[in-house]
Amino acid sequence: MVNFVEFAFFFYIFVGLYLTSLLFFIYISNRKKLFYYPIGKPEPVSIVIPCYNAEKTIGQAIESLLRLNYPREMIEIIVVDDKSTDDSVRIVEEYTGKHSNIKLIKMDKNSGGAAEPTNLGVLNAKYNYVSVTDDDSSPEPDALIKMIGFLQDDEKVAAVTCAVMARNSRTFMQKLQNVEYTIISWSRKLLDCVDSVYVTPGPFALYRKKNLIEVGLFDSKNMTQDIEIVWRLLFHGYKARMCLAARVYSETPTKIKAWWRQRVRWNIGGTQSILKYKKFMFRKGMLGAFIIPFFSFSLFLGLFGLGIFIYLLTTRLWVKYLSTKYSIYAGSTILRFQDLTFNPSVLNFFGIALFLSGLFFTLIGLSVMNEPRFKNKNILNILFYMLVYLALYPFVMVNGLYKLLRGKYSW
Amino acid sequence: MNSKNAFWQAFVFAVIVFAVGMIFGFFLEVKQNENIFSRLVDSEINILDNQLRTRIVEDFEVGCDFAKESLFKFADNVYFEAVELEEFDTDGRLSDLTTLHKRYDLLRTLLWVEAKELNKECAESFDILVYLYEYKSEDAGVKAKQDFYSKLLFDIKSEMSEDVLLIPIAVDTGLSSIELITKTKGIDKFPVILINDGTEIYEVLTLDEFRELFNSV
Repeated sequence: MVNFVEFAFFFYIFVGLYLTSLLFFIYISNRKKLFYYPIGKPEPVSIVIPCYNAEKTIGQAIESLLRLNYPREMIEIIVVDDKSTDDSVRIVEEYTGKHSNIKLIKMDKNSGGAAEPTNLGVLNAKYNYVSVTDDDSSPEPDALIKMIGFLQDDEKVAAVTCAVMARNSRTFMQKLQNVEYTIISWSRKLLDCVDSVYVTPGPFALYRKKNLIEVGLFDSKNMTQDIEIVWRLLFHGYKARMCLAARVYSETPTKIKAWWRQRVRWNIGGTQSILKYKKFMFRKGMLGAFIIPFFSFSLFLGLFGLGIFIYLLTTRLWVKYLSTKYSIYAGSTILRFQDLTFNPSVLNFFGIALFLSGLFFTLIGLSVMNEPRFKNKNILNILFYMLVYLALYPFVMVNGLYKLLRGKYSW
Repeated sequence: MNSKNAFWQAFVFAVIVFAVGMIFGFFLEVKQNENIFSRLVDSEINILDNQLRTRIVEDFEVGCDFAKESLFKFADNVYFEAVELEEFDTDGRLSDLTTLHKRYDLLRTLLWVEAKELNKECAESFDILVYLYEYKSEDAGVKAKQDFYSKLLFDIKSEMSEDVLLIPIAVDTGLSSIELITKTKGIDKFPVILINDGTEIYEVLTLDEFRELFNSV
């Protein structure tokens, strides 16, 4: 008969089924307009790049901005150096020497995050539209012109994000992140269809300057200021939009250690945002109706699920260890044929059905995004991504929560 | 279509898919249960067969060898049927197999009583090994020991199939007869192996130590 743990599994399967169905339903009713963007007319834009120890990438980032299909005289590039200790400043100074529309601002001391240099850049921006881009990211030439129409089209839109794609696919970790970034971009656009864009990621986003200043700029205490700012804009009644037709390519960690550190930071920032806005649960439009509950529920389910998994695994391993130890001592059989028999239950079939729907969703996402690197889909990478990579997230959550509780975290 | 309708549409869809899945699951189990239910009918027949066989042994003055052979054959059938039953008793089952388990425990208790009688009449020509365990225990220590005992007893059964009668009985399925036996014997800790109604084994023994406890060796 079904016990508590099995009931929990059924619940997880139902939630998974619901979320997959939700995204499918949104996709079905919006599939023809996913890549739609309002045609915008060029207006002056200030582009802020918070920079810290980016000697290897800052040049490429600036070059990509100089290649934007946008009137040169309408672009101002502001690099805010957060007291880099490498050659970043010298590289940026080479560009400021050659281009009158590139400006360098040096912070007096390192702020330890991207929020403060970004805020300084926004305050120094000449124009009403402000774009923020990371020092290791490169937007596609038509990204800005495709995004600006969203702000011009609706006064209530205060922020626009685009599809963030992984720049390289050299290492196995990067290949997995390539799949992940593509699916996240697609899912984010689907959530945009229900007014639930919850982040304008650092690699490339466009804002209305007066709205940013009105709501108090980026929160320097939050580890994911790009999530928090959107929640604050939504709280003030503004909207955030996603332009799937525009893309920015960003560096991804090559090794698991750097990946882990980045994801822990994302989780800390997400949890900080939940704590900050928890009192608006079920209030303030889609922020309280979907985004905060979705984040909170994901955190709870991730941690609870991991707890159940660890409990089951340790209990079973402990039983097997003891039993095997006794059998070895007694000189009796360790494993019988009947121990290997498997009679699938309803739970197994539900699990398989959920996995297949997840796989189907992923394959559709990769196909919709039409990323050239997925032309020859490596199904093994996709399976590894679904079975192993995603399973690491609850562990990242635990680590993030632990660091948050101890108050020991940094950018 | 308003995209926000997707929230409740997805919910309705998920409920329908889930319900269909559950119904499919029930049908799947019903299919599996057909096999189990045939065992259920067998167990009814077995109980009657056992009761009748006991009377035949008494009334027809069947010799010890025949009676023993018949008893062992019967015990083997019950043992392997129960093993099959356990294979179906997996995690996540929607239907409960406790009732069926109870029937087998009842049958095995009857077998135990009969075996004791027969062994007395046949000058203790074989050993009766009764294994009392907890069917529903969640305690890791108990589960580990039960896993070990079932393997050890499987070895003993394979090795001494003609001299040792193995009768595993679950004590926590709510059968009053088993409760009566355990209370009378003062047994309140499980799992336990009873050899010829005298020796009670609670600890981990080697196969050799175990063999030494039998009369027939």
